[in-house]
Amino acid sequence: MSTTIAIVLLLAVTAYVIFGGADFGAGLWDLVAGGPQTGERPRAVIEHGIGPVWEANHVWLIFIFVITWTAFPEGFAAITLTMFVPLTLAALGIVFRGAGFAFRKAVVRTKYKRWFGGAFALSSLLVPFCFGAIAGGIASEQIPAGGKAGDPVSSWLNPTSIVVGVLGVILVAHLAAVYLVRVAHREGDLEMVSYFRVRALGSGLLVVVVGVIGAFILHAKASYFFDGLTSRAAPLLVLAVLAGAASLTLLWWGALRGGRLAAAVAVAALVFTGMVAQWPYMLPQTLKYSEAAAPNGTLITILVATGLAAALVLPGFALLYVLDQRDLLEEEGVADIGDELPPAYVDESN
Amino acid sequence: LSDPSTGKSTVVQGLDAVPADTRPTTHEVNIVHLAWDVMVGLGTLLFLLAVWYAASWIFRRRMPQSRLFLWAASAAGVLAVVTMEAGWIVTEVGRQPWIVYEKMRVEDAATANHGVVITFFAVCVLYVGLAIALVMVLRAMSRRFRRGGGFTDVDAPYGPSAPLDEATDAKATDEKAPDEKAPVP
Repeated sequence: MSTTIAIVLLLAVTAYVIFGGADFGAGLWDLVAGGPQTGERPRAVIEHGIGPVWEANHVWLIFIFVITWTAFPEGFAAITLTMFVPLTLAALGIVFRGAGFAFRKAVVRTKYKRWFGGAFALSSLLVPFCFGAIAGGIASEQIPAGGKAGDPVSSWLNPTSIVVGVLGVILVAHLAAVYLVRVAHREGDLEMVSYFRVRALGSGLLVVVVGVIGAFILHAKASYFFDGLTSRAAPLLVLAVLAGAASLTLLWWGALRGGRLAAAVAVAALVFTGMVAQWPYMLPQTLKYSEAAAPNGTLITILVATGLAAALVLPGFALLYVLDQRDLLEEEGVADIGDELPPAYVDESN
Repeated sequence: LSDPSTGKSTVVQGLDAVPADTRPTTHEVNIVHLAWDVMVGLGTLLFLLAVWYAASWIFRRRMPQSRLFLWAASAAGVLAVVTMEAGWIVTEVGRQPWIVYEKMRVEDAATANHGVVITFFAVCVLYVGLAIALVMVLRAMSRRFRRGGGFTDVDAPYGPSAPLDEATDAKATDEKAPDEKAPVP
């Protein structure tokens, strides 16, 4: 029973990385898009790309939390007790990000756009790093079980955490760039297609580099996880590498649709790899999923509730993504008179 | 006291039925009492306000015209929040010292970490900042809106979908109240 719930949890984490992760990555490209003039067009593509879906994608995060604390309360208590610093930072970052993104649309002056855009983009960097660092801390056995708190700093600022955090940031950036290529293509903006394609290829290669560095660090610092990587999870790792290679090749050739699918498969396989590598442990060598699990009655209730939620929510999500892909959604917010004022008025503060 | 469904009498538990170390303090009891009064009192007043409106609409086909009603209606938004917060105080202070009744005390459930105070202040600062930014952004949007000439489009957010002049009238006077026409902006 606890295995079934663990698989549900794995699927939810995968969905969050594939959909929500890409939103964070888009924020990263927003950060490095340059000044108001050079960055205008990439930012427009980014805004158009994530505008309709970024709030919906956070459903997965909430789902992950609820499943973890109801189905694996021991594990949840241990993780939150030790990792409360990165978790708090991530939570603040998510609030900042949402507020910055929403407010940036509502202001016209460049100065304010810059402030809110900065809040949006910097927190897009912070959140995936924090989540990656938590995953790294779990893999490198920094979290004690049984109601004791681990070190509040070194549990998530150690070599493994940092490399997994950085990998997380680059991975979502890569995913976002791959998606944004497609968004730009849909808008018929060929210049932006090649802009994001270059970045997708570059960040994809960077994923490989950081991944190899990460493998050495995991070998040294997270032995149980690394053993899993080379045994239990090896087929999944191979799948991730193959899909990643396919994605980069397809992007190189300009087969955007296939490239996007392959990139999503690669990232999903990587998430699966991580979870299978530390199986059957929720916290490697400390706490197994079966030990952390709530009583069977609770688990059955959660499974039923998950089934009901899936039946209710997934069709809505499918519709949202289909409408988004076919460009049938209206822009967020309402057209504003201020948008049509001459630039002279808009820039009067500069 | 008796339960009407069964006819059996209910035993009312006195405070002496609760062990001394799990009793709430007098201070906590006073807070709960006051918050309860606020919640029920304001809740009743808000309900009566709705009844007032409904009665006026049923018998006169228009909203109440008195100044008192308008003041009360304006205050209702804030009062509803106050009522809700009072309700939260009733639950959260009223549960003391238990977080799960008779299973776990609040101090046993609280995290052993020391940084919680920092989190608390960080969240407060963040949300105060967000509130200030929200008000400023809304005011700036309103300024731009007015400088741009007010309603230039009937498709205003949440506005009435009628031609321009009618829409302005309807907005200014709301319900059927022809004698309270506000000046057109």
